[in-house]
Amino acid sequence: MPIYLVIAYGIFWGLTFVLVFSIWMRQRRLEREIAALEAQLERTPAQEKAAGDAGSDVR
Amino acid sequence: MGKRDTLGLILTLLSAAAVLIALGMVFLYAPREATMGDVQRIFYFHVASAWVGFFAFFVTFLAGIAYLARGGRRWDILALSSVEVGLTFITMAVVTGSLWARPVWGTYWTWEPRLTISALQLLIYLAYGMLRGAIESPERRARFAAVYGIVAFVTVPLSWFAIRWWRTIHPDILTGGEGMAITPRMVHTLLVSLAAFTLMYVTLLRARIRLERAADAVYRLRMEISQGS
Repeated sequence: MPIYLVIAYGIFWGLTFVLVFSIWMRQRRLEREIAALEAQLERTPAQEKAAGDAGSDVR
Repeated sequence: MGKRDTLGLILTLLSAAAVLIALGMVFLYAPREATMGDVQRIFYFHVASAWVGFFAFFVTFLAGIAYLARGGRRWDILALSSVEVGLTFITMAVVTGSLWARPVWGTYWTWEPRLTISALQLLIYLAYGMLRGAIESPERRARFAAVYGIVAFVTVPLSWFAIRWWRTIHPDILTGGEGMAITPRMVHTLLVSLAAFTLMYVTLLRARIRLERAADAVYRLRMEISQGS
């Protein structure tokens, strides 16, 4: 099989893999970030309340 | 891809199956071309990737018009996602075309009209992403990108007609140009490759759009947190 044919098909697979992998990695990172931010958003009012309660106990 | 994205999974499996069928046809069904030999088998995926690249830039062109006419972040997301996928396929077409040219023309590259326009097109769409990144305001960035996507699309018809308007050594597959005899089996293989690559484009475009929406969700959550604190 000619070497140029092998390289050409290698490039098709290689570039497709790079695009799929890069989308997948970025998606995973963003999903983790969304989960962390949502947790932070839910935690914030509760934590503020807890911090306020702790403050009143000290007093 | 997210865990609950069933449609995405189905599209991915369909695309993979279609590309494998096309690959099987390229190597087992399509005959060996008389003049060029086995290296001509590059042609099927080369043409299919160029087609997807052109189609992707056409989608960006339409999304740009829709954004300017109606506004809406979804058109901007569609345009950006399509450019990214299109760029990958145009890069495939340019690189594999060059690998095909080496044994057939005796050189990897020559500055003839089709190849010159393809190189320019690649640079113009690479700049699309870079220029977007340089604009801070989301509104201005989207408007600029819409206009840029519309203007940049001129390279697609220019590239398509380059081999018909000017003297060029690039073969014209539609009119059965010089240097390659197309048989019915070759046409079937090409059509299946075009369908497989189009399906792959839809799958990748959808995944890329989801990515941009996730980025928007992160931005909104950060804004909510900063406003709440």
